[in-house]
Amino acid sequence: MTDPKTAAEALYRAKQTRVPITALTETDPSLTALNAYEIQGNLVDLLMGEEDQIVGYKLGLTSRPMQELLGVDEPDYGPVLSSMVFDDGVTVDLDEYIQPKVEAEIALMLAKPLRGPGVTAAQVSDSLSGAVAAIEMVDSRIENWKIKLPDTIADLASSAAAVLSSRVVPVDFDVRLCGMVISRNGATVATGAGAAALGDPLVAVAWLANTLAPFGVVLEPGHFVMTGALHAAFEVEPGDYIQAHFDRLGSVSMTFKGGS
Amino acid sequence: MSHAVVTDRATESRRLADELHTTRLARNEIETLTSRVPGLDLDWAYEIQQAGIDLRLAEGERLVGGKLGFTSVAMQRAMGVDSPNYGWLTGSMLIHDRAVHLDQLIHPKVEPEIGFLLGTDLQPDCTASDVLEATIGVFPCLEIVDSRFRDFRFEPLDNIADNSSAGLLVIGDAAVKPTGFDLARVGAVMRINGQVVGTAAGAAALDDPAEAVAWMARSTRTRGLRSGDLVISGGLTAPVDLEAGMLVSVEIDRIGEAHFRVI
Repeated sequence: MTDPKTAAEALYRAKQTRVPITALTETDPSLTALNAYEIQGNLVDLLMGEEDQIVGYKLGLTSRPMQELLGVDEPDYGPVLSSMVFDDGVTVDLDEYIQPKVEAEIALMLAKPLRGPGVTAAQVSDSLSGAVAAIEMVDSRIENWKIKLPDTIADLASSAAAVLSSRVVPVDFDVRLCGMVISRNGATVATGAGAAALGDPLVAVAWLANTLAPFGVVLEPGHFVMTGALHAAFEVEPGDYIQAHFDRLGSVSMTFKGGS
Repeated sequence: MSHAVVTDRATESRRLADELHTTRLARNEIETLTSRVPGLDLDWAYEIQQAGIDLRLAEGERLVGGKLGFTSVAMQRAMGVDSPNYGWLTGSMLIHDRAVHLDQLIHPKVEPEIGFLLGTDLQPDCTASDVLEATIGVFPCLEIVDSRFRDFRFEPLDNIADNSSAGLLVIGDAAVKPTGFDLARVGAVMRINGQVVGTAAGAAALDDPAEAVAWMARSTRTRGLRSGDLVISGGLTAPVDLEAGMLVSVEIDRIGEAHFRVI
């Protein structure tokens, strides 16, 4: 059986050294999602420096194709630390990551606390200060992204960084229909709309609040939730300029350097 | 000599168009033209397409507009082409009772699109902004594509000869003037029985649906795009196979919705 501390330390080392590890589920096929969240908690403790704090959450596996790929019927989540968040226009050094990919998402920002269980999408709507255009950089500390559900959960839901636009836009529109076009060096790579995230980004946040409830965790005012990819994530290369244009929310971009 | 060649080709075009026409009506499948017609090229493929449209018009159908195909980078890459193609819409393709009957089709798929109703003729040098200027309104559309080729497998030239896989078309009720927002960024959500099966933004069609319509206006051979034409600008999501019992819907931000049942 996997010791949560040991597994978290292995993931932590992989992240620091940028040498990925064998999938936890390959070493221990009996690893459950619940075990994996315990590993994730240990990993967050290791990662969190004195100045660091949890500023939000990311949801993963929110699209049906991703859920089918991993053989699950639920999303997963991981906390986002302040050290993982960047402003629009950031340049990121690829050498600091292992095998990153990017995906555009709608981030929802909370004005009021959300305490599960029983949180509804309408309550989420009532709790928001607004929506923000975002790009998530995902990365896996597991070799070749060969992940099963417990592997990605333990590994911070495969998150690496979140880039957020500075504009918090009041959600007085149907966020399910909010369109998005993501481009690499000016060429369209993919398009999507809010409904790609669990059918409705508001439902995605409600799911998170309710899933965190048994652990006594409350979504706090000022927290944001990365509600899930609106298209298939793609790999990037040094020199790439990635831009996501959202209808109603504006744009957010990042540049990649490195390549040693 | 060259006249004889042209005549032979015109005859051959009519014969191949008739074969496709008959196949559609009988709901059969045939082998691709590219596998058995030596010398088939782009011009010839569009001649066969036009001969097929002429057959439908001769049977009393009416031309109501145009359609775009291969407008997404993903589809162009999959087909090994670097430009879209076009086909023509006739009145009998329009569904008025929001019911699509599988027994009228071969192996249909559905894809959501943005449709343009033109209020003025488009010139052969037109741009995306000319298209927006000429547009009375844009519609949410669900295009039911169908192919007369076996297993829906074909080369790009086959697809052109087969009228860009045109099948049937369901259009939403409302027409919205495309001003004050960017058609490239409007979100589209296709659902089947309430479940999301695909999302996209307008840019999935040639980076801008209005540019897709402009491309057709610049590219047509026999007839331009005219006032009163309905032009559908290309699939926004991956196509989905139709099965009996499905309720298919598309919602497009700022424009509206369209839906149909599969019977």
